[in-house]
Amino acid sequence: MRVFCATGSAPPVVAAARLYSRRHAVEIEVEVCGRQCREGHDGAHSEPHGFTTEVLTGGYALAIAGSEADIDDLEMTTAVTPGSRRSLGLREAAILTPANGPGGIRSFDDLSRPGTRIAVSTIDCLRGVWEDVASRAGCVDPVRRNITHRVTGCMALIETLIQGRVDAAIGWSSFVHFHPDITSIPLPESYRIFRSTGAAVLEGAGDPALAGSFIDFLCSDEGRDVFSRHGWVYPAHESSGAGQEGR
Amino acid sequence: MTSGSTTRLTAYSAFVPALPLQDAADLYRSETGVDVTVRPGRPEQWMPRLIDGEPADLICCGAEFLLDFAESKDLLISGTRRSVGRRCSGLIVPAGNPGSISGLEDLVRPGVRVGVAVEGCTLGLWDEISGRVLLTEKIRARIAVRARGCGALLGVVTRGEVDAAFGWVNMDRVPEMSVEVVRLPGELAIYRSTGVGVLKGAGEPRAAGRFVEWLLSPGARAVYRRWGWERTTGE
Repeated sequence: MRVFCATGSAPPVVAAARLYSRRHAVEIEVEVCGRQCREGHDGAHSEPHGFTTEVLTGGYALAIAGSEADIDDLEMTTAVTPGSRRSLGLREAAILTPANGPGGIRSFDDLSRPGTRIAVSTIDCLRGVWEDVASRAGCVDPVRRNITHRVTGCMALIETLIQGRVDAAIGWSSFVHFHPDITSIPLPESYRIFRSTGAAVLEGAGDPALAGSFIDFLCSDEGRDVFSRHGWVYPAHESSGAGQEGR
Repeated sequence: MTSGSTTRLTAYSAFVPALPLQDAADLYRSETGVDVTVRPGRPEQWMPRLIDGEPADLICCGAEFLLDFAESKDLLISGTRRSVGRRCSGLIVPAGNPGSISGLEDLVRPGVRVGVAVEGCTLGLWDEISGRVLLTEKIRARIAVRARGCGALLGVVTRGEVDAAFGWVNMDRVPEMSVEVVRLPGELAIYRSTGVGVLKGAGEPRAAGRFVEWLLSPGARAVYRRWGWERTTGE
């Protein structure tokens, strides 16, 4: 079974696929975004964007994306099997900095300091996240003035941090799991933004029951433990033990 | 463009933000004699034309990420972007609220039809709001219409094709749309800024820049306030 997954969401999916494969003697191939995602998806263009294009042309059984909006895009086509969409968990927006902290960033207020260099991503799951955080903090203009790098995608954002080209980026707290040289600074609770990582079975899946079964596994306690270890959050699970509804 | 003694500017704008922009442009013309033609439309449609070289002086969008896209395509003169105000998220319901929607919890009732937009300024709004109260699955299950943008979404609500949609709290001020607004608790509020910027291809970049700065003046602020835009605080 072939699974298409947004790159930033891939590590727990790959880990969970290994578990599932061992248990059910099924081979699951997880493929991540290629060049089309980086160059095609811009959220403001009439052309089909990279994520959708890659999913539609790859012969995949299911697709996983880092925000519900990306799966909404897919659902605007006829590619998604009705009723198959599930949320695999939430990611929390955070300030990311190079681990040695050369910019001295310690809080969101520091992002408004003149001369601070900030990176944001303009595509896919991180589209607009910086604004949704900054507008809660009432500092859209000062933060925007400090955005020096507008990059296309999670991996490009991580690269700018690792290479020390910026003092901070606005991304997901889970990105610390991608590289030891990245530090995550939590946002004040009132500024926090969450987006859901979504999955859907695709029409044309050779074995839709198998694809659905894998999604069920990703949503199981065991699957969610894998996602938790990679930085996904399940606030209700912590507070009530109920987990995200729809399980 | 300068025609005789009259400076003329062309502004492309997203549909709903074009309403206050047009009023502001009228006021600006009365104060300065500068004529600003506002061309409303979906950014997803006019942005590619600007990339292809269609002449215009400035753009206006209902979310910063749309201007980020313009900037990533090298369309804007660096440093000219300004936020003219922000909008707060809310639920939009048909006039009379036939679905008796009073809050987010009503959206998960069996049979309730929810609308969202998959392009434009409200992109992803439902994900963020639903995620905060852990209702992603249940609300997604009620999504009956995915519209291309705010204008289409307002039409869907006006025609009663959905019981509620995720939008902005000032959408009840859009002419010819029979909708009401249900406000959400403050902790669920998402704010997005309406931004303007001067295009690199502007025929009158200095005049366009002056107009953009004027949009931050008390007179222009009053126009935006009348249409339900809040001042972006802390700036």
